[in-house]
Amino acid sequence: MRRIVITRILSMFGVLMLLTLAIFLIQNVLPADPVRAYFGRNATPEQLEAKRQELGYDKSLPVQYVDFLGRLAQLDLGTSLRTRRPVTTDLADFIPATFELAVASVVIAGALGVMLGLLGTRRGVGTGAVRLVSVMWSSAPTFFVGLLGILLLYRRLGWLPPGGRTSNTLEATSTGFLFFGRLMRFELAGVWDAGRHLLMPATVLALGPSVAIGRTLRGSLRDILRDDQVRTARVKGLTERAVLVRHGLRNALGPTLSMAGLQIGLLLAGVIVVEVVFSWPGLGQYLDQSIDRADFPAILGVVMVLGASYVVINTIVDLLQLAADPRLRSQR
Amino acid sequence: MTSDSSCRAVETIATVSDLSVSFDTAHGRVHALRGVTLDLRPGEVLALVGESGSGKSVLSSCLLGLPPESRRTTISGSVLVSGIDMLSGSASQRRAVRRRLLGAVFQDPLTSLDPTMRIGTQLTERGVSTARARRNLSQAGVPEPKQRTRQWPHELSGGLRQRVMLAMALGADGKLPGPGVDAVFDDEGSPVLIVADEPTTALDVSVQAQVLLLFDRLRREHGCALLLVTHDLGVAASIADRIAVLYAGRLCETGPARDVLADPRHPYTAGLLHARLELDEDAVALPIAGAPPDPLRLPEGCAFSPRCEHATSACRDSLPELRNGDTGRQFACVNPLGPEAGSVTVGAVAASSAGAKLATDAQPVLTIEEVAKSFRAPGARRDRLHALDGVNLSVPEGGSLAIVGESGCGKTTLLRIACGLLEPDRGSVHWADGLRPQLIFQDAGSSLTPWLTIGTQVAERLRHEGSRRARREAAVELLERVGLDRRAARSLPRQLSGGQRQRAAIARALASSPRLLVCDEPVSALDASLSLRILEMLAEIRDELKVAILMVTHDLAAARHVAEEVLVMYLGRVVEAAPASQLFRDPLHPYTRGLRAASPTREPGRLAPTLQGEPPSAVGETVGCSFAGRCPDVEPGCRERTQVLEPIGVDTRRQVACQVVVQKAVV
Amino acid sequence: MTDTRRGGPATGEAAPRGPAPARAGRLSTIGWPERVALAAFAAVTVALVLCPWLVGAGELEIVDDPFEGVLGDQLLGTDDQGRDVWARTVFGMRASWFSAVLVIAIGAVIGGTIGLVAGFAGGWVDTVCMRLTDAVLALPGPLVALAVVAATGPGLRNTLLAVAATWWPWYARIVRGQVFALSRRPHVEAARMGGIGRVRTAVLHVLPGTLGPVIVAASLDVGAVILVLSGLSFLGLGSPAPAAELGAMTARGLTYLFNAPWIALAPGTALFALGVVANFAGDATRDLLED
Repeated sequence: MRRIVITRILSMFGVLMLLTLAIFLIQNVLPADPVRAYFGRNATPEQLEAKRQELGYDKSLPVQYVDFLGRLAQLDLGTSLRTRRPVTTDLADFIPATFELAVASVVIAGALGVMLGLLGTRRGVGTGAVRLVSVMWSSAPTFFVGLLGILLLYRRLGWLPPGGRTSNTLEATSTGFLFFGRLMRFELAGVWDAGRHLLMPATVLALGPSVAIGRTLRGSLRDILRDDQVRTARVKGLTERAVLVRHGLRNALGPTLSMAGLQIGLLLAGVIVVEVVFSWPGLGQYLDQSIDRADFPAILGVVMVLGASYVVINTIVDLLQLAADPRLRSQR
Repeated sequence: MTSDSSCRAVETIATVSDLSVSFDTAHGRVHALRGVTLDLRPGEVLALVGESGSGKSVLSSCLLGLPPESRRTTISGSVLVSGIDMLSGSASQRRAVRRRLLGAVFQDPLTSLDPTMRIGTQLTERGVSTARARRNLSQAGVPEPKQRTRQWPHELSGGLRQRVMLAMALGADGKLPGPGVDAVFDDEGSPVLIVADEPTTALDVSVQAQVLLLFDRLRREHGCALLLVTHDLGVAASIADRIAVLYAGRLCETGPARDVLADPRHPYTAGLLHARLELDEDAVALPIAGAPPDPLRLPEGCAFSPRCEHATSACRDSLPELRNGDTGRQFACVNPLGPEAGSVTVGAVAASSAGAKLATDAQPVLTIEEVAKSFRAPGARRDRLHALDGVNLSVPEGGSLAIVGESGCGKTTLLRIACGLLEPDRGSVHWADGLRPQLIFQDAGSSLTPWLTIGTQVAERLRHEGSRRARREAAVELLERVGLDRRAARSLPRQLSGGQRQRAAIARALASSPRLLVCDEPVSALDASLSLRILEMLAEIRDELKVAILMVTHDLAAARHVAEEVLVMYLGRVVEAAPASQLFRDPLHPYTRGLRAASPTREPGRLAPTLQGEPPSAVGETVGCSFAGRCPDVEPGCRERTQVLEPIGVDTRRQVACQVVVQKAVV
Repeated sequence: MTDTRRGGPATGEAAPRGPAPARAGRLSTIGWPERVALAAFAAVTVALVLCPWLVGAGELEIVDDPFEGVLGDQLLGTDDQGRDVWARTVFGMRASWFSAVLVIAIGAVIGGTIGLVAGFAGGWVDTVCMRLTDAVLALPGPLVALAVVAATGPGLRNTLLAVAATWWPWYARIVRGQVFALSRRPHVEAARMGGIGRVRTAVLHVLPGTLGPVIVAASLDVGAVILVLSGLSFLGLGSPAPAAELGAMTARGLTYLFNAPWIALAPGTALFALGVVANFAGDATRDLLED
């Protein structure tokens, strides 16, 4: 058991190293002229030459990679060409907003997913409808759902704001944990306001993952409920609810968790688009603006942060699966 | 509960009345049960016997109040347990019956326990105390119950898991809450009925006998009834008081086990009895003609009539109802058999008669000498699993040899080495003229390429036949040789039945003109009548085509039926070798004797296992006789010296690896 | 052998009919909704091939004043530059649809080849191939694709290659797994014992078994790849500006969302429709080829 956990954590560091290598290669090998790519289209020859020396492009690739890791260890991701600030500083400003959005979205995706999964196991007319709605939801691009939501819930009904994190103009440029901060301080009006802003983007972002989670849960529940172990449970006279919760859900947990891990990873890519649609001042919007200006250090910085989160989350999910399935624990 | 119903409950604890179950499928309506009426009396063992597809599992599910779940299921009739209808009663009433009165054991011990829950939790879920759970475990023969409750299902062997299921079944207290009966769970009570659906089918012979005897003991101690669902009349015969035979969803015969087995009234029951392979020397087996009916196209009249030699037009026109016979017997047959028809030697063509001639001077087609093989043990870093250790054997030209043993004895490894699919660590394998033997797999379905027609698969081994057309024709000839017709050549494997697939696999093997067919449990997945036909065909191939047979089986009777010589294996070693007739008449090694005693026969109540426990793991080095731990005749010297095969008596083919037996023989 | 006295059928065993064996690959095994989905997939493909002849205007042609409303002279009005939104949407659908198919084809070919090599070669080749596959799978695909496109410069070719470069490991895994499983199935051992050559065994007895799962995976992936490509296009990482791409068109239309919603809604709806058709057809293919 302990060995498996240690192995899993070590392999996480391996994958993280791989991520840095991939980003290093994308940055230093893929573009015809990496330094030009670093600056984008409009750079003077003097700038290029100076940067070339500064970044050590005259050295061999392995040496460059070691230098790259060294800078990374000091949290140096270069300077944004657009904001003229260190990329790390920019990221630190935008991470809280994205974090809040992602967490809210994961919570909603989990709740919706479990709901979809359980609805689908009921026999009767509902099953076909749930399947239909599931496929429709997972077919819609997030930005399309987002703009439909804005047109309907803001423009037509006026229930929810169209974007941004808060109605308070003073805090509009805030870089902290708005929602969680207010929650901690029990500012109920503030929580209500931030929550209203959070609700639509988080739900839009959660739709795709919730369908995938629901589908996995429904599939594994359906298989498990056909198993003899469930007959055994019923023979013991357990109520259907107890059978479902104690045996069905418990056994469906493993595959569902694994799918949830994968989906949270995809959610981290989807967050970029959703932030653009809802003017959410987070990493995604920062990335979108950086793409427009070919701000290469900034782009790679965001990819690094989101990619590393993906790797860490998947490791955590793997470890949770160990807890869910005793059979995995006794393997080597 | 009124006094009236409690009075009835004394004579029957469960009543199935005119139960019919059918499913709508894409291809039409399947009638699983068609008007079954059955009583269960307190404390009795009722064996429900039928082949696959007879509806026996549906019946047992209905008895538990858990009929097959589907929108397209139609159910009529009633199933009463202690006066409560398990099909139309309220959900809470049915749940209460299950919790307080019933227990169940299912076929596959790997899937019937929840893998994510500790044994103890699963036992106490019903509401029993921890002490009661431990007591039930030890009653079910689970050693060290206290430790077991903390273990997970995957940490236990199959036999132990079935015992845990049984312990769980014992958790019911037999008290249905109602007027005058306390709702508190009684920690001393016993279940009223245990439903066991093929509880021993997945187990080894010796463990099967232990579990069956355990059932027998527990129902005596606890006074609970047992519904034993099985496809094997031998299992039914071992502990049943009464037998009910099911065919195509209808009961054909019920009655006291002794009477039904001794002189069956229904031709199908007689057919089942005849088709069963027996260890008995004079018993000859005869398959039932024809095939079970297509569940979508059941005949108008008696479903067995197309296969019945006594059938008349009356049988084909109307469904025969169950009629009462003497001594509590019932049968659904217009022309029942008389008492003398039950004797089993009628007009039999015995495949085993071929076993008489022994070709001792013939050249061996396969010689295996001092073969050893070990694997890396799963979950262990250094220890190795010793699958085979110093095994010798030879198969004479046109001869037949069977290897008998339980799971984990190394018999499959030996087969793979014999076919050259696996390299031995030590020792040599020699094929006469370098001709590779052909292997017949246990699961014929997976041994055929799913997307190629049978004809293609046979023909591609006939390269020497010249033209494509000639190969096609030769392939059809081979298929006809094994009893398949021209159409089979154009079929894909999934379009054939299990028995037909096994025939196709045999035809394909013959296409390589082998001198030896190596068969890995060739019939263990088939119903009795079908497996008998396949075994007869193998014997025929041996006699007519002079192809030697090496067969691995866990079934002593199948070995006796096909083989001239038999090797008995235990944990990677041969413990006894003998001509088939001698081995089964007079087994010498304590393990062989135990296996023999543990094999079910159609004689009622003749089950007496001498084998305790289950085979130990073959991981790591062992000193001395590996059977010593389970041996009833063990002596101190057994654990010190590795036992080697030594000849006994004048016939050098008779060998045994047991110092106790050898010493006795010398004296 | 068979006791013919009793007059049973020739083999004594009826071929199974009815519910026992599902006959995968036959249209009769799937229901009407599934058949409709497959037909829709085919119809969309044909219609999009023919689309230059089906719509009146070119994708870049300026046909009218900007911001002409829906159901005027143009079916879906005009965009901020006076181009026909309906024409641009249809051309955009064509680009999305065939890009997705192309990405999957490239991914399946690369992944399939790696999987086949790994599965058949075994040993260290297998280890190296599969470690590489696992490594790529451990990285977040869409994000890496985004970084690659950003580095190589936006453009349809780069986008397609970048997405395919992160998509192939799924196919490598499926194919290698199938080859591995099939090679250990008794029927391959039977072929070995029957003296059938290695090449014939591989081509005839193993390879066909990998096709089904790959086709199923590919058809289930079409919808997902359409979404990923449209996301990249939405962020400006698809074909550069004037080209008709649904993601980029939607992004551009966001600016005019409240005044001329059709500019963003038309391409968005089109993407949604493509996704629905692709996903239902994917499910139908799975139902058709599995079980």
